[in-house]
Amino acid sequence: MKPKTLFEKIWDKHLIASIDADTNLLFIDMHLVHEVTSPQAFDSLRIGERTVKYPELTLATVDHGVPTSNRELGIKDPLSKKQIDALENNCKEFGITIFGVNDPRQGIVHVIGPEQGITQPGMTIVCGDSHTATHGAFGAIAFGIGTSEVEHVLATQTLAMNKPKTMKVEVIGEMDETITPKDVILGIIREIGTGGGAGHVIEYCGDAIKKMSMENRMTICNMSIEGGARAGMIAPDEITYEYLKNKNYAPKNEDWDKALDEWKELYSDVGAEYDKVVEMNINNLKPSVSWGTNPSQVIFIDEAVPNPDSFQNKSDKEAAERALEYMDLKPGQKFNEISLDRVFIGSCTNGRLEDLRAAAKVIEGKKVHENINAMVVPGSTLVKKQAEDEGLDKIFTNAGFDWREAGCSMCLGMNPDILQPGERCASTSNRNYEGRQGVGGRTHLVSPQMAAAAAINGYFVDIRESK
Amino acid sequence: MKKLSFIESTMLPLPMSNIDTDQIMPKEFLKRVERSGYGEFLFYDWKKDDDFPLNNKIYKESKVLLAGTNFGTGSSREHAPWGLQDWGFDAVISSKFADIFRLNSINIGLLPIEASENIVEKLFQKVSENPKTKIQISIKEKSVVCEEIEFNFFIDDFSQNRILNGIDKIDISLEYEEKIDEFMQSRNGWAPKLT
Repeated sequence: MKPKTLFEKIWDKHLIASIDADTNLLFIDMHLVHEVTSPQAFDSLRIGERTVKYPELTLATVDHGVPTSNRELGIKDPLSKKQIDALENNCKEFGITIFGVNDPRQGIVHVIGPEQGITQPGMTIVCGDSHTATHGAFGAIAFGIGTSEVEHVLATQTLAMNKPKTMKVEVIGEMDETITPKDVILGIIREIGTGGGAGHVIEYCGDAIKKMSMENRMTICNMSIEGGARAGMIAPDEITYEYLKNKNYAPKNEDWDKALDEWKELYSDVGAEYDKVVEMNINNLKPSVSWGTNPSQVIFIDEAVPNPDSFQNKSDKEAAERALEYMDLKPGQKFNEISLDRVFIGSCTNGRLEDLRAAAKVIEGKKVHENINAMVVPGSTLVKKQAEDEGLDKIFTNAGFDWREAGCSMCLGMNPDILQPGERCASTSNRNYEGRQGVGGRTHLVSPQMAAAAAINGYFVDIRESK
Repeated sequence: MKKLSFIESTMLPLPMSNIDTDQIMPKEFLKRVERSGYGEFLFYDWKKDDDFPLNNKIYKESKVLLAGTNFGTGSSREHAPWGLQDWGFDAVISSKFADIFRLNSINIGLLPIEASENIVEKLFQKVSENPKTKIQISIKEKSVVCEEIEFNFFIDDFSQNRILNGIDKIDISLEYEEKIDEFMQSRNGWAPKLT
C-alpha cells in the first residue's frame, strides 16, 4: 500500500463522496461557532428554510466581542451586544450548545475546544476563524472557513472542497528555555513568508516538536495561517494522550482504550510523500520581535531594524518601506531604543496556562514600568480560574498588570480593549497588521516571556541577558 | 451567489503585496449582523487618504481589482469579499491569493484570477500608461484578454459552473444526504458530541 501522510489518513477517512474530479465531500466532526462570523449564516439558513444537520456536532461560544472587565454590567457596545444576543438566540432556535458569556467554560474558541477534550486526534474540525489551525496540534485536520461555509457545515455537516497539498516542516535542533514556541513559529514564517504555505496543509515534525507540551504545540499550529497555510498539524503521541485523558469530552474507560488504538495509527508513514518540504534549524534561533506590519517581518532581539534596500524583491522592499513608516521606525534602530506604551498578554496564540506561568516567572517580584499600561487576558474562563488557583493573578496584579476576564480582547480589538493611535504595543498575539489592535496602533509580536520583560523595562530587552 | 459569465472593465490598481483582510474590511464593521451594505466600509482606513485609488474617479466603474501578491491574507472574514463585491468588483487579479479569501470569494461569485507575476506586472504597466485600458474576462473560456496580453486562468470546473450559473453549493451537497447520514451512524460511539 502506498505510504500516506498523517493528513492523507484523516482526509481519506472523512471522504463521503467525490462530486467531480477535483471536488470532494468531506465529513466535519466538529464545528466551532462564534458570534462574529455566524449571524449571516444562520439568517441564510432561515431564508432557505433549512435546519442544522447535526447540532450535537456544533459548539458555540462568545469570544471576539466580549468585554474583559466589569462583565456584571453587561455588554455596553450595542453592536456587540446585538451580535452576542443573536448567537444566543440562534443556538436556542437550532438546538446548539453554547458556552455563553457567563458560563464557566466560556473562552476563546480555540482554547476551549482542547481544554474540554472536544478537540481529539483524527478529527476534522472547522470554525469561521482562521486560527482554527490551533486544533491541528492534536493530529486533527482543522482549518478556518468563511460565513458561506459556516452555513454549509451547519446545513450539511460537510464541506465540498478540493484536496489541499501537503508541506512538511522539519524542525531541526534543540530548544532551550530562552527559545519559546513563539520564536520557533515566527522563525518559520520569517523563512517561508506569509504566503509560503498557501494551498498547503503543514505537518510539523522533528524532535523539538515531539518534546513540546500540547500548549506549546498549539502555539505553533495556531500561526500556520500567518505562514499562509490554512491548517497545521502534529502527529499525536503520549504527550497528546496524557493531555486528553480525563478531559470532559475525552473517551472514558474501555472507550479510551479503543480511541488510543485508533490514535496510535495517526502518523505519516515512512516514505510518505509531501508536495513541499522545508527544514527549519532552530539552533541559531534567538528571542524574536516583529518590526513590521506582517508576521514575516521579524528580527532577533539583537538585530537592527532592517533597511528596505536590503530586500532583493521589489514588493518586499516596498512593503518594508511602508511598514517602517507606519511603525515609525528607522533602519538600524535597536529595540532597546524604542519605548513601548502597552503590553498585551493573551490570545489563542499565547493565552493558555503555560503562557501565563512563563510570563509570571519573568515578572515575579518586579513592577511594570511607569510608562506602560499592561494587561493579561486569559484565553478562557477556566484558564483564568486555574491561574488564580496557582496565585498567578496576584503576581500579575502586584506587578501592576490588569487581570482581565477571558476573550480575544486586544488581539483584534473588537471589544473595548484597543490601542490608541500611535501607541506601541508588545503583544503575544498573532497579527501585526496596520490597525489590527486599534486604528493607528503599532504592534510588535513576541513571546509571553519577552512581553513580560518589556512590561518591566518599558522597552524590549533580550530575555537571555535579563536572566 | 452572484452569476458571472463575462466581464469587461477597467482595472483599479493596488500594487502593495500582502494586503490583509483587516485592511480590506476593518474589524469594527464585523460587528454588523447584516449580510449587505459592506461596500462603503471597504478599505475604510486606507480610503481616508485622498490619493488612495478607490477615491480616484477614473476607476469609479472598475469591476476588476488588480492587486499585489498574496492578496487577502489573514483573517477568514467573508466580510472582505462582501465589501469588494458590494463596492462593484466582480474579479480580483493577483499573482497569489490567500486560501480562505480565494474560497470565500468563489462562494459569493467574486472571481479570483491568479496570474504569473510577469503578467500581473505587465497589467500594472498597462494601467499606469492608460488607466482606461480595458480587460476582458471570459469565465466560460477561463481566459483573459488585455490588448496584446492574453492568458488562461485556473478555476476548477465545479467552481466555474457554480459561478456561471449561480449555483448554491448546499443543494449539491445535500444530494448526498443519505451518505452523510450513513457516515454519521458509522462513527465511533466515543467521538465527541455536545448534546
